[in-house]
Amino acid sequence: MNLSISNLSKTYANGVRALQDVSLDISAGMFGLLGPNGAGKSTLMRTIATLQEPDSGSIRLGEIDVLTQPDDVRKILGYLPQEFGLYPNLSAERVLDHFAEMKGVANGGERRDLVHALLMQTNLWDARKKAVGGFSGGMKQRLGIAIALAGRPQLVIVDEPTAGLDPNERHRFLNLLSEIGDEVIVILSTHIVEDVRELCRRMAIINQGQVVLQGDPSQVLDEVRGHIWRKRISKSELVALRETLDVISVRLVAGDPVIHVYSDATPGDGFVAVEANLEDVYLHRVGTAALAEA
Amino acid sequence: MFWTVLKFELSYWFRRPLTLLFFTLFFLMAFFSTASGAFLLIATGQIHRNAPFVLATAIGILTAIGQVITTAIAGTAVLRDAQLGTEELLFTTRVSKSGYLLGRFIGAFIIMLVIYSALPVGLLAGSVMPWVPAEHMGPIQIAAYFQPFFMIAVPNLLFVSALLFAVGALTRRLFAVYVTGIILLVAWQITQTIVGQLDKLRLASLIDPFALTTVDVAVRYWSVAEKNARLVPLAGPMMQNRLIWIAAAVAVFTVVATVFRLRLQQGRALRRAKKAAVAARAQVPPTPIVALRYDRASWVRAFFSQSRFHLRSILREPPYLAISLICIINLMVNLWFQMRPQESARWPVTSLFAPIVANAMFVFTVLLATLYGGELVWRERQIKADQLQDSTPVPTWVTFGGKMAAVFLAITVLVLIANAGSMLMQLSQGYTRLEPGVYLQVIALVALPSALAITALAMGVHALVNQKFVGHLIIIAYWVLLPVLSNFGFDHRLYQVGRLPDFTYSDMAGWGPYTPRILTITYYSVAFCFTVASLGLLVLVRGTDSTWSARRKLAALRWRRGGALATGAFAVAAIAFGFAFFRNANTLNAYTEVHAAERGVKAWEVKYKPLENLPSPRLVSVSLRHDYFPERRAAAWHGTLTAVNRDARPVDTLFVALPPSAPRPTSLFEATSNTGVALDSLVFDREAQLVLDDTPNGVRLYRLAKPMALGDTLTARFGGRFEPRGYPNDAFNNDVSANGSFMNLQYVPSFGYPEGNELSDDEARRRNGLAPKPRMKKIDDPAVRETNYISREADWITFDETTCTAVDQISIAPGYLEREWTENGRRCFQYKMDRPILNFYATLSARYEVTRTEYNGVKLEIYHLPEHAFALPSMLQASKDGLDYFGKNFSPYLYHQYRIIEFPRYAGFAQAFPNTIPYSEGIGFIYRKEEGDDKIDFAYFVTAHELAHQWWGHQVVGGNGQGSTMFSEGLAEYSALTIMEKRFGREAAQKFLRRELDGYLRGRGTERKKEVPLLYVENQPYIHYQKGSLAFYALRDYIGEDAMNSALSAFLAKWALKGPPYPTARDLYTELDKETPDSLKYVLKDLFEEMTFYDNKADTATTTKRPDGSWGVHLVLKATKLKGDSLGNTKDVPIADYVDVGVFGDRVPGQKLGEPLLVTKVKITQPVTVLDFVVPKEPKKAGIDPYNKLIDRTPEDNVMAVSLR
Repeated sequence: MNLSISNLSKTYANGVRALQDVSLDISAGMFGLLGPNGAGKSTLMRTIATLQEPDSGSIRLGEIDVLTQPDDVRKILGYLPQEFGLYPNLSAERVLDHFAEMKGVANGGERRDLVHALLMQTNLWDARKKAVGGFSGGMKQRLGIAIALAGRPQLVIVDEPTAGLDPNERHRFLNLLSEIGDEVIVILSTHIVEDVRELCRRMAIINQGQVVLQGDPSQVLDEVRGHIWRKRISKSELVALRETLDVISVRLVAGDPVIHVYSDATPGDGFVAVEANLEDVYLHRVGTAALAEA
Repeated sequence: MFWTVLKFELSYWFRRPLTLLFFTLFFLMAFFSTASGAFLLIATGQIHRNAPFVLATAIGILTAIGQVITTAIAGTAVLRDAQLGTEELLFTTRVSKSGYLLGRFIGAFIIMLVIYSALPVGLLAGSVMPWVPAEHMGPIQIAAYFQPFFMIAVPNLLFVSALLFAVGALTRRLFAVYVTGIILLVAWQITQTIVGQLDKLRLASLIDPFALTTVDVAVRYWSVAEKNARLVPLAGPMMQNRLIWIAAAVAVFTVVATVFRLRLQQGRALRRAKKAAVAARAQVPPTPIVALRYDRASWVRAFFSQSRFHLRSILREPPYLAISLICIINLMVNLWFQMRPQESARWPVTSLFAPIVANAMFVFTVLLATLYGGELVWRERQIKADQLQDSTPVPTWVTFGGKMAAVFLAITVLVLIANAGSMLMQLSQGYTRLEPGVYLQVIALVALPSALAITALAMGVHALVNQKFVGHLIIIAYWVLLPVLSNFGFDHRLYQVGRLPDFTYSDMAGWGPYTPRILTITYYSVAFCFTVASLGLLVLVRGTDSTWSARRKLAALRWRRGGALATGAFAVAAIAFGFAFFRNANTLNAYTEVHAAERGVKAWEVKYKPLENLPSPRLVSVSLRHDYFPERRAAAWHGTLTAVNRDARPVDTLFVALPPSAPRPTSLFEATSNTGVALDSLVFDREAQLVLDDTPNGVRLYRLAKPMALGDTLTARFGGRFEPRGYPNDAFNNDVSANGSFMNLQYVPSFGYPEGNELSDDEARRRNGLAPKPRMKKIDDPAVRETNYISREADWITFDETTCTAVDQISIAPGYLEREWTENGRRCFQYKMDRPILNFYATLSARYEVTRTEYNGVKLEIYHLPEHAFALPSMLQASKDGLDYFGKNFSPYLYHQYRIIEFPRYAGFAQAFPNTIPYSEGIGFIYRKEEGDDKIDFAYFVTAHELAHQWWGHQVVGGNGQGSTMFSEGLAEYSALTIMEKRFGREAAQKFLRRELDGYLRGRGTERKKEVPLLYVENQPYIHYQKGSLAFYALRDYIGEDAMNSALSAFLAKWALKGPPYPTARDLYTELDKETPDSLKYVLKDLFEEMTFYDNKADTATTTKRPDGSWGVHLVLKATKLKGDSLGNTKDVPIADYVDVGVFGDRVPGQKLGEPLLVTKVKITQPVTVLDFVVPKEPKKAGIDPYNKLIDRTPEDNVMAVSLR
């Protein structure tokens, strides 16, 4: 099954152009959608998840026209939104059962078995009777993914799932995602480059409503191979260097700034060539687009 | 810090359009209170719409209603920070607790004041509108508009704001704030109910946080003139009330200030989950393959699942539990006081209780439906689970429908508990005939369908409006305005969707004719509300886009997928049932809006009044054959009338008056037609040509070929029938029912212009361009003595009747039973009177049980429902006591029988026909005599009153003018009181008189035309009943029982069975005057010829023990005498009266004041009198006119406790 998004555009009433002629082709497996805050990721995710409509464009999921057949999409959809809550006084078990029924698991006995299995898979079995309102962030996210998986989905959308989780929880969650299965389209929308790098076979970068890059991570790296240079500088030099060079990132190491610069040739003394990584690509691309806009 | 917070709060609210909306809302409500007479309906009759107490009441009511707004502003002041998540930011600044709390509170309070200031402004604006009729407005006193604002609105607001603010701040839950508001309203309701108990008026005044009851009690005894002019004073209970509630506000705020912490609220009972350790991944089972089903059957199952899911959560919520508790408490209080209306006591029969439960629960049904309807529609969005839910394939109707079902079931649970509570209350009173079947019928027919409709409506509105608070406002506004609709002429039930259907359940007649109407209007309401819910479901937001364009698209989609079918089906059902109702109410029963009906009556008067003075023959004989068909609620009759021309002028045109079937107003807001009535035949014994046939309006004119000369006799044979069809919009004609029928002589034709059919209310007449009519002829007008006031068409008639009914029923008419037989499956009775009676008779029928006994040659019979045997001993005792006393002291009883007959609860009176007393099931028969010396046996009293009418009314009857009801009703009341005192003692009589005094004083304040002295009474109940009994009792106290009885028996001897010329009140006065010594003639004048009031007060009472063991008592008494005019203005007059002065000792049984140590009449001639007495025992209480024999506007201050000197 393939998800093809064609020329999607959406402008909100307050003038924000959230999506500008976005086109993407997504096949089964983990797909990473990378972009900064406000890039339009959530708008895109919600549109695919049938929660809002675009101004123009179309989306096809296999044979289904997503915009005109939302019900058919929902039957095979699992959606974990960026911000969500649950019935705080109810147990995890009860909540999962409630949502499983709404996903079409009609038989009570089957549903119970499904709920048990999902709770074990997401390591929430010990907490199944506890009220959801007292869950930690990681537990809530895991319950969220259990809900998303309850209806045997063929399209799973997770929107910023690891933001705010501690490293342990983050790993646990990503492990869960990776086990979802290769026949399922999983779209992971995030601004955390690491997540995409760890899990995704294909990716796209989106910024200010536009797709700036699409492909598989290794190909994408080719683009900047050999063009990334690093230097440790002093704070006073930073401003001057920023004007003359394409500084794509500034990091502090033991108090001094370490910059990465994009350049076809060595930009000057003290610069060392480094192995490009996905973050460099991302920051380069996002920065370029931002500059172009300005 | 305080100023910053305050300024922020002010600017926050001033910037929001909602604030302007609230201000406008209040302005409009206040505006309509004065600009329109029908909105709040506080001012009636002569009371001006801008009378100070009316304005005060309006402001009080509007602050009570406006609580919803207070919730939004004061209640959310602190809550808002929790809701929006700004708490953490705010509490970590340098803001101090007091700065924060005071800033928020005072800011909110100032906003509330600004909004509420719309009230006096609106009232004032409404008062000066040009369309208001001048007689409804008094002169504009600016103080009258603003004094209640400061006296009532501001303290109300202070307390309510403080309370809601506190609850919001301490619980951080909006729902708790709603619930608090409801508690306040119920507290007010309860105080209103307690007001029915005379001795708890002061308590009720103090505990009402809105001061509405306080205003009510303060003006209770004011006359019309006083009500229109005086401001409600800030003194006495009002002052105390305001201080109490201001203090309460301060106390509440102090509590908040102490308990509140600038910290986040920990959610209640959120169990922290243990951090689940990273356990070794032991055997994790693979995910089972489950069947995914999206067909109709599985979604229907999901619907039931959803209802259970949401129902369970509602039932556990503290607000639901709190509202339910308040509802039950309110119900219990209601039921308790319904058992004891105005000093009487009734058995808690199910026919009384079950409808009360349905009615009392209504408000709470609405509250739960809207609160939870709104909450559930918004639930997922509030907890942010909406995206999770909306992205599942569950159809929207499953979740929406499931929520609706959950709210409905939550209400059902409360309904069942409430009814169970009612049954418990019955049992607690020792009443065991619970009749659960009747409760279930009320629940199934009335309570639950109405709850379903209301729930559907609430959810539909919330789904449509998509703004929770506006949804609540709309729904509450609808329910608040619904009763007001009637006042504006929209009384057709089809406008009033969701209103609880009107019905009366009778122990005798059961559901009577009400069931088809209840079913039709209920199904109509439900279908209508479900149509609204369907429309709401069509546009209910799903997903994250709540703009109208997105919702339109959703609606189009849902419309195609069954939405059209559902909406269409409900709409069609609503139309179908609406049509059925329309056919019954409008087509079959000629529904007419009240103003149109008034116009019809006016046209009738304009057309026929010129014929008023046509000479008409007077009835001398009526012979009637009556047939009841109880199973059809129908009747038929035919008979013969004989009439004689007693007028010197010849009669050549006969004006025949018939019962009209055209619509007539029955109240200020409703009109009824009597479409079931028909005249079948009318034939005379001579040639008579029908020259005008206006039978629907009750008039036929015949020209006689040969005019009747003086003394000529005419015979007319007539036949008619009554067959109701379908059901009307409002009042049924329940004269005939399946078990319990009561038809009186109004169905029989009569001769002469029926003046009683004119519009009598001055207001209505003025509205229709008619001059106000004098209520009655002046007492000295010679025309008064020509006819009696009971029947204008006849003097004394001979009467016989044969009445037939269903074979299992007994039928009764005035007269002695000559024969009883069965023919053609029907049972017939023949009655005949052996002496002439007034032209006043009735026929009754039902399946009675008869309790018979004989006393002194008189047959006593009571015809009643077998289960209503509670009051029989009282009734029989009263009959015996009355026959004894009245027979001995007034004149011999004229008849050989005295019959009391029960009729259904559709009317609530007892009436005296010759030797026949129909008596409503709802009074008397379910009355209960409680133990205690001061408890009044009402069944005894009413029976005695009606028996006394056999003398006062049926032996002697007054002419058609002022004063005649003084000696029929007034003496009947006095006579009953006399034998009651002999049977039960002075304390019971005292208590009764106190009640009569209250009734008289209150009645004066609602007089629609003018008050008159007792001698000139114009059929005003508060004068002829209440003042009558007070006056005659006082007079007897002065001149002695023997003198009184001499006067009364002389009056009877002279005037019994006479007429024309008929006696007037002056003739009774003459007899009383003969028995009154010269020194007391002033009493006679004061009581009867003028309106006299006293303001007596015990000022000081002290005592000292004397050396010989006796006690010296020193009293300072104040006495003022006043005379009143017709509007209630009074002026002081010099006093030279004999007044009781009393000193009382310890309490003894039978004497509420204490053992009378000294009671003597003292001649009071000064405003202040100082007296000294010696009494044998220690005095505890003393005072002036301690037994309240004189009409005193503040009776409680006559007696005071004696203090030791």
